Amino acid sequence: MGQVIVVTSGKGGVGKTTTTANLGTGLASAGNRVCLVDADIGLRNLDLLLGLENRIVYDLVDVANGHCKYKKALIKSKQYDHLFLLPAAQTKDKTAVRPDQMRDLTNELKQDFDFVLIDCPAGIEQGFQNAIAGADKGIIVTTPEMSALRDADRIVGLLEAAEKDRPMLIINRYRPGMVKKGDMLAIDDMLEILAIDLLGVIPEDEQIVVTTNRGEPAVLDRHSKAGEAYRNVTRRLMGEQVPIMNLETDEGFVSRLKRVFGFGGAR
Amino acid sequence: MNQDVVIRGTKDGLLILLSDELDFFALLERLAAKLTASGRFFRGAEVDVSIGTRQLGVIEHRALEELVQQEHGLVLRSVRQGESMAVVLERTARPPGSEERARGRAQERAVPVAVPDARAARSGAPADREDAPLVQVRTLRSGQAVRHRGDVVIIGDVNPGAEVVATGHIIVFGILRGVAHAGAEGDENAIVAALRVQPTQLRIGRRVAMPPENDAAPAALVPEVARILDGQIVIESRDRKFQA
Repeated sequence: MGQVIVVTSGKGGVGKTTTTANLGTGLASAGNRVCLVDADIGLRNLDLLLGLENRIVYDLVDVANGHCKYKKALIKSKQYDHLFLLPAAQTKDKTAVRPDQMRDLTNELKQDFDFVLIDCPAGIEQGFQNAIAGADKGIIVTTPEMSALRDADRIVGLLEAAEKDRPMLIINRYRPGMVKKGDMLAIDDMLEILAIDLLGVIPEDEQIVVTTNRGEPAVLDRHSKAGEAYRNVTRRLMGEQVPIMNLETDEGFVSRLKRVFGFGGAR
Repeated sequence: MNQDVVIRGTKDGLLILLSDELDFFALLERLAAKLTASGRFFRGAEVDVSIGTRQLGVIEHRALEELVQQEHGLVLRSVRQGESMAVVLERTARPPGSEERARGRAQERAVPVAVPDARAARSGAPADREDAPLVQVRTLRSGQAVRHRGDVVIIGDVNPGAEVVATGHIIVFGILRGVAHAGAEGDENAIVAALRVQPTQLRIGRRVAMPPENDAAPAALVPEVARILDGQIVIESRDRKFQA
C-alpha cells in the first residue's frame, strides 16, 4: 500500500505545483509507481507543468462524483509508464468535490500506487480541506519571506488540528547571496518559527521558468540546480539520508578568488 | 447511537461535547433537548463546551451561551476548540490520576466567553483571580487563539499571528512573538512574562504598545516581563530585580 502525501503551503505562488510535478517525476524515475492528483479545481496547472494538457478527457470531479472510474481519467506521463496524472476540472470550482469523496478516492489510489501526491490549492477553505482529507503526510512549501512563513505556520496549525502527522518543510526559491547580505530569511530563522523537519531547500533557478513552459520538470535536467535539489528530496522521501546541498551558486570568479586568499568571510 | 451531543462529568466538572458533523443550529436543538430532558439536574453547574474542530461565529457563540446559561441555568466556563469529539472523549475517559498527564497533552484551546454587560457594569474591580489558571503545553501557531478568564500559562512559543487574551496574567514559557493581551477586562496590574518578549503587539488592561524596532534577536533567552509602569507598558529583563 502506498503513501498519500499532500503538497500544501497556504500562500499562493510559492511552488506547490512545481514541487508536486518535480517530486512525482523524480520518484517515478527511481522506479516507483506514482499518481499525481491536481486538487486545484478551477485553476488547474499541474497538467501544464507535465505537458499533458492536450490529453485531458475526464477529471477529478468526474471520478469523485462517480461518472467514471479513476483508471479512465488517469493520464500517463510522457516520460514514464508508471507516472500518472489525475487532472482537476477547469470549468468547475472547489465546491464540486467533498472531503469524504477525496478520502475515498485516495484510499483507492493508494492500493495501486507507491506514492500519491496531491497538489493542494492555495488558501485554507474547502479546496484545502478537500486536499488534506485523505493524506497520510504533508509537505509544506514556503519561500523565505515573512508572508509565506506566516501562512505556512497557519497551515501547520490546521494540519495539527486535523490530527495529521507533523508535516515536512521545503524551502523554495532560496537565494544564498541575499541571505548572506541579510536581505532574506535564513533557513534557521524559518525553522525556529515553524519547528518542523526540513525536507529540502530548493535554490532560485531560472531553469524552472524554462522547464515549466516546456512541460518537462527540472528534476530531469542534469544542469539545473533546482533539479538537483529536487532529486535530493526524492531520495530523502525514499528514506535515504542526503545532506543539504551546497547552495552557493551565485558566487562570481572574483569572490571565489578572494576567498582563496582569505577574504570574503565564512562560506 | 446518536453521538452528536455528549454530556460527560469529568474531574474538572461538566463537559458538553458537540460533534463536528451536522449544522450547528441543528446541534443546538439536540443539546436543548438533552438539557430539557434532564430537568433541573444541571442547574447551577459549571460547564465547559467542546465544539470540536469547527469555528464559531459571533451569532453561533451567542446562541450557545443563551441556550446554556439563560435557558438552562448552567454556568458556561469556557468554550474549547481544536480537538475532535473522539479525541476529547478518549482523553476524558481516563481514570483520575492519569488526568494530569493527559491534560498536558491537550490540544484544545479556549474560545472567548463574552462578558455579559450586566456583569461588566457591576464589577470594574480587578479580574476574578479565583478562576483556575489555564495551562497549555503547546506552541500556538498563526491563527490560533487562547482566551481565558483568569491567568494563562503557555509552555511553548506564541508564533506571530497567534493571540493570547486573559483577564489575568499571561506567562509564556517560550518566545512570545504574537499578540498578548493581559488584564483584558481592565486590570492594569496584570503582567506578560516570556522567555523573550518579542510580540507584534502587547496589550495590558486598556493600554496598547508596539515593541521597539529591534535588530537581530539576542542569542541567549533572557526572561522578560512586561507591565504597566507610570501609565506606560515597559519591558524589563529578568536580569534586573523588579518588585512584584
